[in-house]
Amino acid sequence: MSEREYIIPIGPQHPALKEPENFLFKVDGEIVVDVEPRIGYNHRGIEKAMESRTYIQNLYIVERVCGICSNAHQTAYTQCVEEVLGMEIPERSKYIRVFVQELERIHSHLLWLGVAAHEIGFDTLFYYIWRDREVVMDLLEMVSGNRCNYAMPTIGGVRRDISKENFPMYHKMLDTLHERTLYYLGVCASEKTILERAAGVGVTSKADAIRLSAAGPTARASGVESDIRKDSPYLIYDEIPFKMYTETGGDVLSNVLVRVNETMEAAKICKWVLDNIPDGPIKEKFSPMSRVPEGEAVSLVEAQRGELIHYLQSRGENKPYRYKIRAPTLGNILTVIEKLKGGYIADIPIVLAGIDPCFSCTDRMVFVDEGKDRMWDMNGDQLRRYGIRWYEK
Amino acid sequence: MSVLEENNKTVERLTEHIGKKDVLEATVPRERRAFVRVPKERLLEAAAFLHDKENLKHVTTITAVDTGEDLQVIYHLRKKDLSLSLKVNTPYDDPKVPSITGVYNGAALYEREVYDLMGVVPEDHPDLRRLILADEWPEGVFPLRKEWDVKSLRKRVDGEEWGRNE
Repeated sequence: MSEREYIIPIGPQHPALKEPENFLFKVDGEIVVDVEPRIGYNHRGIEKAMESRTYIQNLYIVERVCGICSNAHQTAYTQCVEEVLGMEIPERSKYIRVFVQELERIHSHLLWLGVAAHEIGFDTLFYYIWRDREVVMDLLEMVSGNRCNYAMPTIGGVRRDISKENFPMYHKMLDTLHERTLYYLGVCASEKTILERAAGVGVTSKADAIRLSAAGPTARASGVESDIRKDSPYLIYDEIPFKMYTETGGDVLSNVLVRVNETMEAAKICKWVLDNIPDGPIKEKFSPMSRVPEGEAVSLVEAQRGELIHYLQSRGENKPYRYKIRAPTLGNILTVIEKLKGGYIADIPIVLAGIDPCFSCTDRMVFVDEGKDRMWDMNGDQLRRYGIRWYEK
Repeated sequence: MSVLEENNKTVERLTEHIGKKDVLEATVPRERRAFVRVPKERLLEAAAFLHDKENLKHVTTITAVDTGEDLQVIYHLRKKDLSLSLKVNTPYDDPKVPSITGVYNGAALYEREVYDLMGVVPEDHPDLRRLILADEWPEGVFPLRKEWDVKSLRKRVDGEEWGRNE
């Protein structure tokens, strides 16, 4: 290590972190030379816990893997168990699962867009977006009774029906969301503040995205056409007419545009579901003590942040023998490292936030100058302000 | 050609490449899913074939399973319309498998994960270190192995008995 290089640890603990992680940044002046990830601060042993609980109990654990993509995890879990059971679920429940999943995508993408605006110091946009996000939160509350952890999918179908009387109101709310998102698309594509902070920052080429197995919007922002809803359709996604958006830039701006476009597409999917949902039962019977026959299944779901995989191995008991979960953020960590290398310290917050990780607050940093034995602290807020000031010059 | 036929063809070509005798298990339970088991000596060859010739460029994750007799490592590889799970088994007393990070660069963290939690050692991994468990976690305790349950793990790691009996 040369005299000019500093090591900057970022993370891991802060109450505001959704998923604490630790990154060691090796910097040369303002330039990031290398990044070393250290994850696992939030490892709760969920896979091990699931092996000692019944399938119905696991429904509740798996929903709590993540607060933002709770429905994606539950959808993947129920699909996995149903595949081993060989159970065909009622048509109406598939539509309801898609409806909740796409609403969740809208809420997650708007949340991310607000956070991204905040990270680059554009707080007006952040407040606007989060105000409009309340519309989808209210909608989710009307549908499921909860603002997060909706507890909608269950093994064999869904737990609650959606009522036809409310459809006109749902349509109206979705129209509002679509209209507002369209406005933000205009803002993001033309506003100077965003262009200067996001265009050309944290670039990943298409070849790198494929090489490092990037997932979801992060891959699509680099021009990789990969979306589980198209690649390996589940539920009724093969019947829904929807478009997959890709960008070619691979930078933060492309990430923004892909997600904004996806938000509008998700609103369209929700409206399509409301127009086409068939009548009928919503649930097959599955008793809490039911055994699941021997077998294995791989379940793939396009969560908001990308490809989510669940793998189940059953040995004919009422508990899974082995259950594996891989959330999309782990798949994108190598890509974000690639994005950070060669960039400025001031860009760290927005580039890290750019992949929409399950943590978005670069909390507590210690700058260590190894040669001179100096050390100083900077918390996430100070780092954010440092970034904004740096660009004001 | 339907997706299912296409998937079957992929598995057939892999079988042909590796040789029938060395394909211990090959199933296509439904369209877009396939499971293939090969001896660990042939893993690299199979992975390179799937990556270069069959266009499965994406590694979704790596799962390790404690089967009770040995350790099974499952590589979930994917392309459009097919998610293929490539399995290898390795005994407890020699839990080594060749590292696929050279072929699939995106597998680096997943291999560190199975090393950490299940004690599967990927040979020739460029940067094999602990990824998930705490720095003070005792060496040689692999929590996802079946020899540990939640209670005995707590006793071993924290040195005290507490929590719910499971």
